Amino acid sequence: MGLPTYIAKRALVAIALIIVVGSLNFAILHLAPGGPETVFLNPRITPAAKALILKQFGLDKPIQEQYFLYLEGMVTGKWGLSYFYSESAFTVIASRIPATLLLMVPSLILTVVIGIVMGILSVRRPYSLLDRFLSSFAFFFYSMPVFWLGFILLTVFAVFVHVLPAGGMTSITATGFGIIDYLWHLILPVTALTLINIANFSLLVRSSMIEVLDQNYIMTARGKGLSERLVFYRHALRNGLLPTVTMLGLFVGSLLTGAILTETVFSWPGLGSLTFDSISRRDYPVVLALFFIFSILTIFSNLLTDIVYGLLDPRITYD
Amino acid sequence: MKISYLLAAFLVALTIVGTVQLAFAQQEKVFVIGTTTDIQPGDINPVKALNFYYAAIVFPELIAWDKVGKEVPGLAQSWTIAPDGLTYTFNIQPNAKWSDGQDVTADDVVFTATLESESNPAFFSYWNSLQTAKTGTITGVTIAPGAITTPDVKTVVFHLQNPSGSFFTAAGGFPIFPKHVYEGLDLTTTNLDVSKMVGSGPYVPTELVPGDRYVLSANKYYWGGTPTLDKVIFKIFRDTTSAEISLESGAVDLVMNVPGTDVKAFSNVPDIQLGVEQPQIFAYFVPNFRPTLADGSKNPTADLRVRQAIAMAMNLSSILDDAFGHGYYVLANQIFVPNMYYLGKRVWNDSIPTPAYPYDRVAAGKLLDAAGYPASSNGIRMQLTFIAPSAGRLGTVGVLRMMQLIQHALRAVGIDMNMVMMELASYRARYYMAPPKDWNVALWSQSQSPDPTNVGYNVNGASWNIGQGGWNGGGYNNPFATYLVSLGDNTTGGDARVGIYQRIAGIAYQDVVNIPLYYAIEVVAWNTKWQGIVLGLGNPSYDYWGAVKYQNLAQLTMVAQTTTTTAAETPGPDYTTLGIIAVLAVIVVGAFAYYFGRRGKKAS
Repeated sequence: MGLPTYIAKRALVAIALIIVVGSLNFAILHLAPGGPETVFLNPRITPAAKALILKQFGLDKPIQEQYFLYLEGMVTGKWGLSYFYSESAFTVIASRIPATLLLMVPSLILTVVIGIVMGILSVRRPYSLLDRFLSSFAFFFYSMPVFWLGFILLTVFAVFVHVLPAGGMTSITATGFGIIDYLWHLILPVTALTLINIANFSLLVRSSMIEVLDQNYIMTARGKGLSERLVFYRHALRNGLLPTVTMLGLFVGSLLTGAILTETVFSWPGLGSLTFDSISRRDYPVVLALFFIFSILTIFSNLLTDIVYGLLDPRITYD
Repeated sequence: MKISYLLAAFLVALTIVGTVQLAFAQQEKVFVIGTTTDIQPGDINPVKALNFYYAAIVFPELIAWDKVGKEVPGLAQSWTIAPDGLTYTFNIQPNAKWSDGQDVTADDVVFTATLESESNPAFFSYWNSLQTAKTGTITGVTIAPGAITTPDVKTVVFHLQNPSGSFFTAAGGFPIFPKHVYEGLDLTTTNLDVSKMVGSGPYVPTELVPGDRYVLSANKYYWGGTPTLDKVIFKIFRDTTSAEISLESGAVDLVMNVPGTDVKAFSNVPDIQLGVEQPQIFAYFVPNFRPTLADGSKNPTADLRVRQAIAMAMNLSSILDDAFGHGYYVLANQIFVPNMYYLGKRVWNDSIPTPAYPYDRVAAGKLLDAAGYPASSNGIRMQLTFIAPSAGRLGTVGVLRMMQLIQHALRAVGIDMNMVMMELASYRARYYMAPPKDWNVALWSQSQSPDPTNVGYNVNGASWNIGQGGWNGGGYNNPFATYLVSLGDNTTGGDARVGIYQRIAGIAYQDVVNIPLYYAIEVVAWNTKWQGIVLGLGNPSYDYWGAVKYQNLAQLTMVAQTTTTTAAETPGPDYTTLGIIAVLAVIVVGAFAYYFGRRGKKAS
């Protein structure tokens, strides 16, 4: 089977998977105790008013009708009106995507680059002082709660040293130099996210490279008199980085889910906080739309990972 | 070579940071309020808002309340109420204008009443004494012809069809919207762009970023005088800790709802002042009054003696001191907060003692014996399920600590408290579940509006009120109390109405309709560079009072005003510390660079 056929087959499966996942999301959300009426209908609102509000949001319809409307919305892109934002779910989500991308993309790039560099440095001298230091460094931050790290960074750099802002995406009263302002506010949250996630890549690269360096062809390369630098970077590294592609695919899938805790600590108005708030409020249109987007992203990023893996490793065929 | 490159890069970065600092220095007087109350465009949409927290700053109401809860002039300069309670006359401030320069007139009041009656399901009932049926509107009603008259452009007269004690507060405490801006717009499907909004308050919205900020700029036409600030910004935080950090760093100027557990930490921070606002939030236990539980077993809390025993088993002042800190709560003893007034008369029932139920474990044990719950061999008389939310107003560390201490206290009299904490939506669903319920006691709180009506519904046994979303979740059913609530709704005379509600408070106390715990005190922290912060009433149900009341925001000033800048962002880096960090960083990086440089030479 060639690549186009493989992609077509996977795409069909992906569509079916999205429908199944979407249906499960709908079911689980509606099975959770309490609906939106328990959140926004306070006792001050009369029963007649409550009935009107529920009717406005379509919550008076039978559950099966709501389900079919939801399925229709998945196809047509009409995801309904947010109960709390009084705007279309699409608008609410779209307004938060830039903030999340702004936070997650630099974090992802730095995580991957620094993680790979750390892994390479570790494996160049395995079990040396440097290796142990880097591994310990990675584990230290990996085991740290991100919200705690976030508060520590805020306290040190925003309160004690006064060199970085205390949260938010832009200065509260910014009047210019927009890009620099964004970058200035990005430093702490990106640092927190990067430090927490570095271990994934650095340890993966390290273990993968140790395995690759044990292969016969590496021994052959050394036997042929090639320099260690050449053996390492030209022959071993490319194969050692293959598992990183898989990890990267998983990370991309989580790109838009955002970092809920990080966004909370740094008051970053992204999709992570929106997801959490919408679930708490039972804002069904927004939650279901978010889950739909996440499903698509995860499924197709996995597909992309498989394709890229095949391109990088000629041993892999699409059967 | 490498070290010098690194050093050069660091100095360049430092220069950029310094430039950024200068760039962000402000020429305007800006007051930044840190809050965890989110805002979205619907919150300032007249027909979509479910509360008017943020709208009230832009669209002041006819009546305002002073810092002890008494009615004072707002958008209305004065008012009269006819003796029969059927005619209310409000005289609008003669110099009241909208921010586009147009006069605020009686027509704006008529427009607001009509718009809300026809289009806002959440608030249309506020005007029901003026309404008549009309098909084609969202609510099915409209203002009846002749129900509101305007003898002149600044006078509006309401002609009620029947007396309504709550009308004065409901109508007088309602934001007034501009007819010339909103008339003809379909506000049910769209929100007006903030750039097009006009208001009559001291500040009008200029920017709204959901989940991030709400920016208001000074309204030069404000009838209360030129506002002292150029801008007011509500900065939204996800949690109070982040807001407090921003206050300490200087990024925000005032933070509300500081938890009592954080007060001590703030006390040692220079340039930060703390203050408390009068309580408007009543926290209490709601007993389940139904005779049986969902599993068919007998419900102990249906027995008055059991409810009394629970109340008497708790040394509340000691528990609350431990949980919230002494001075950061007010011990509750009845259903009304201390600052509940009606037409200037206090609703508080002085005859109810404080604490409402004396702390007496022996007496509590005797009551339980008499109720038929003797202690078993292990000392346990019964197990009760207490439900509580894990988020929101009652989801704080202090409340959790309080619940743990109460658990201990009840255990001492043989009540095994099974504490179940749930996220908010699940909690409410369980609280409002159709009877028979599966819990015995629920922790609840009530943000009390300026009128006693809603508080009275705590004892109203009407079927709609006991059911989903009603006030009386415990199912207390006393026909006389229900009658009094209805009477209070229809009574307008100050003394008579206040007397009715005092009677209701007495009944609630005698029957232990709820077990009062505390009135929440709101702690506010602000930067001492500001003066004129007036603390008053804490956050009530549909208006910000006290420190962020619009009248207060209009007259804030800074203690020391510079002629050049007032930095509203971080005050600037501590260059000494920064320099030390820079030197250390250069040494570390240089050491790594030297190490790898030597390695590289050896390898080659």
